[in-house]
Amino acid sequence: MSRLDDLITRARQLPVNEAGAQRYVAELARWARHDEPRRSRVPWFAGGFALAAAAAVIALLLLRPDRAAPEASALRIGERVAIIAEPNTRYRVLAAETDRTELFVERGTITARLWPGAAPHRLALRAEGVEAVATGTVYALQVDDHGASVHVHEGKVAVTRGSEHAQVAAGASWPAGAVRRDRRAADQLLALATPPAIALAPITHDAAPGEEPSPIDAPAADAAAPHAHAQAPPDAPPALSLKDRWRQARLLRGQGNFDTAITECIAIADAKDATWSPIALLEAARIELGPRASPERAIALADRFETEWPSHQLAPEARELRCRALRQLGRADECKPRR
Amino acid sequence: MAAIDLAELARQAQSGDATARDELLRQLYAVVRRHIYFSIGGGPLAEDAVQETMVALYRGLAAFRGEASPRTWAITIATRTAAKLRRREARHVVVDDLDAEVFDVDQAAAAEMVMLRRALAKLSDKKRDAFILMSLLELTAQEAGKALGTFANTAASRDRHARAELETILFDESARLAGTDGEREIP
Repeated sequence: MSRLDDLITRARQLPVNEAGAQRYVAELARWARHDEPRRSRVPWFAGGFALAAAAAVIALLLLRPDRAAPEASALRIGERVAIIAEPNTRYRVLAAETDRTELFVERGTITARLWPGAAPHRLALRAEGVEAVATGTVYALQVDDHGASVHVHEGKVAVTRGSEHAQVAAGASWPAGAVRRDRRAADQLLALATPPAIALAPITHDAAPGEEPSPIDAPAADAAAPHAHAQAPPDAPPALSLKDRWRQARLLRGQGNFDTAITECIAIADAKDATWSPIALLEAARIELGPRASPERAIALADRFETEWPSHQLAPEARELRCRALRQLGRADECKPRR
Repeated sequence: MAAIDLAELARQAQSGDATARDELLRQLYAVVRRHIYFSIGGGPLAEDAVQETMVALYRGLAAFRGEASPRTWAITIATRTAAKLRRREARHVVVDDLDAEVFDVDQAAAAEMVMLRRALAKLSDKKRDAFILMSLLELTAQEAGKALGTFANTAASRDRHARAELETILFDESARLAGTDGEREIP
């Protein structure tokens, strides 16, 4: 058998990750329906009515005095962990492996659930100087002006602060007397039978007047992006390199976790790295145009690319992508060659 | 999985069985992944190609007439999608690396596949496509010809030429790695 024959035999048997295939197909049914090109023009009066109706709904929601904060979405990490990041939370996924998941919370609240499985899994939520570890439970780590606190909704959690160790049972908080403001995220996670199929990032924050601005000074293109960006806090443990984060973003996309992949890409783009940021920014635009079927956001990201990296070798690709998005919106006439 | 099983899955999927549909798509996903990797490598362009192909399969399943096997049908769509994206994204950066999270291979096996992919990248598009369809994905000349929009004989001829060129490329590569000058005996 020649070298080529040998390679052919191996190539024919090249195994594809079954779990990945399963996830991909699970997601496919969801977004394939939304990936239809939007070519038809809406009559101006229909658009006007739609705008007026939307404005009325928004006005009603804004004027309602006791409106509730929007419910954040559950985000799956790996196979057995789901989290909900509350608005204005800043956190970073330090590890998402088969046997452990670790998050660092710089500010805000992360509620996490770990589903039981055949093999042990270590779920750790960390804040500055504090670590809360569980092996099958629902609990939250909250970081505010008073420091970090842990609230256990199910199971038991081991909390460590320096040399201090505590076991916190269901219904209890650490430190004793810490007040958990809201347990809706925990209820939401407890209501799930299995980890969510869709890895959704937290939805837009409903900021109150005078409230501290979003931790990420996101440009207009990212205005609707999740506020809980995966940002490395200054005192976090050694962070992944941008190359690794890019690899992770590609992996997430390959697994069909498009929202998380976009969040990761935007975070890489925000790093303003000459090598990885333009690549990641373009990738985010590609995902918006493709699986997310959101040409408007793809255009915004392409415009951001043009602003930040006008001379980059990928700039023509960004412009082409912008044109494709405009064509999908029936605005091909706006696609003009740029200098 | 044998082709007959895929055909049965396709029939069940068309009659509204979502489980059969998902199983069929999982089987086809593996074929599409392999095809796209050897056609255009990895990276964002490959993700786009896989995605476009899978969406086309998902949407086209209802209209699939069963004249070819589902596997051949998927390969045909993947071939056309890859060719379209190659043309459209002529400036794309080629990535030969095998994504270890997508493919279940160890480092040594991945290195071999990358070597094959790099050798394939040196072929013309036509020869490479014919080789992938016939030698790697084991389509018949008729099936490959149909997928490539050419005659069966032409597809077979391109496959033969591709094999000959690949033998040379791989021999030279081995010689380079071994530190020899690459001279070889003419059989």
